[in-house]
Amino acid sequence: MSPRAVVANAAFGLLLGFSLSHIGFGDFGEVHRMFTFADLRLVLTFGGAVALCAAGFAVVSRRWRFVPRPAQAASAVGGVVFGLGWALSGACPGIVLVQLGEGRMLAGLTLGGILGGTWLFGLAQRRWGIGAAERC
Amino acid sequence: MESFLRYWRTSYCDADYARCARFRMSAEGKPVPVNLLPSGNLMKVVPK
Amino acid sequence: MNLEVLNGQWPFWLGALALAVTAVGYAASLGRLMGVSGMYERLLNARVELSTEREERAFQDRTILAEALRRETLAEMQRQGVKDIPAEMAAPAAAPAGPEVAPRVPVWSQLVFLVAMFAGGALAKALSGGLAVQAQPDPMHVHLFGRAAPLALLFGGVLVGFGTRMAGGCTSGHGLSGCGRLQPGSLLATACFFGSGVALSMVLGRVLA
Repeated sequence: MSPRAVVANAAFGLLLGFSLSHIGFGDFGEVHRMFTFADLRLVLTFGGAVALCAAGFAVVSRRWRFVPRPAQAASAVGGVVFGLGWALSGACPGIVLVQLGEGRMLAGLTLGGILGGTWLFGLAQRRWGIGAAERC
Repeated sequence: MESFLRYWRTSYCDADYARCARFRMSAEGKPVPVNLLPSGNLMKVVPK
Repeated sequence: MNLEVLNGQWPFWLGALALAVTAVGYAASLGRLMGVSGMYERLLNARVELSTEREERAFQDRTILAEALRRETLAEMQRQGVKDIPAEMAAPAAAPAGPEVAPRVPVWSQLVFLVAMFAGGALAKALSGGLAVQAQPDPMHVHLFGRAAPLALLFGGVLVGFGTRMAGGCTSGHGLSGCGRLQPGSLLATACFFGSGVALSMVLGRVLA
């Protein structure tokens, strides 16, 4: 296993977890106030991050070719389902790990739910032919 | 290499994607091996 | 050192900068996009990926890849009864020009990333003196859901897992790495998850609070 990939993954994972915690993304109240626009700090954080990413990726994309993400029905439907789950639990797949690291034990329920939901989607694909956004 | 990729693309992706093994596997929710060809063959390293 | 950065809640510009540095830095140093839900999926399917590890490593050499692909393509054309094979296919193949596709990062390094995220959350709390095991649910969560709060966490988690797999990404993969590259699917998914989060939270705030 290449040491470079391990070091980079450890460093950026640590930075992401550290930042998300200080931003307050691990706190349900903060996330709820973001979604109800009661506090615009997190909205501006996320929006600002996207804008800065756009500037950064304009440069990085000259060096590397990345996977395209075409718009599909599954991107929209999956997005809506994910948003409902985020509003209910206050977590996305990355944030739940930060919550656990912060000592919020109940986030274990959320993580269990996420793994269960991932498994359930695989089942839905096999049984009922529900498609995922761009694979293969 | 572009010409080979173009051959696979025109005979599977464009002509009849439903018979592409990669598409069929992913539609069933199974993980697709990186070296699976649309024909269903697993691409191997050519022995020297 | 400025202790405000280690203690308090970050202002929006610092948070935005940190998230962007993470997403862009990851892509710049590895040539691969950062996406947490994709890491979950790769780890859950690690068995299949490890079974083709040898080929994947060998095919990182573009000439070996081109030669294997040439052989398979000619065999397939023969099976399909294609008579005239273009001249450029008969000669040994050249690797394509333009920006490269980076090799995938090893599947176990994705586990390192997830564990590091956990450690990052713990480190942030430890350095600000607030690291403590909390078995109690979040006060705001209880305010909204009362005794059903744990159920909301579990059911919400199921929706998160299902939705991110269906959309093929989450806040990091679609929200940062995808929107940052102005990809239509990512912009659509992000608008949808943010929109539905806003809609449900507004309703919950009105009805339950």
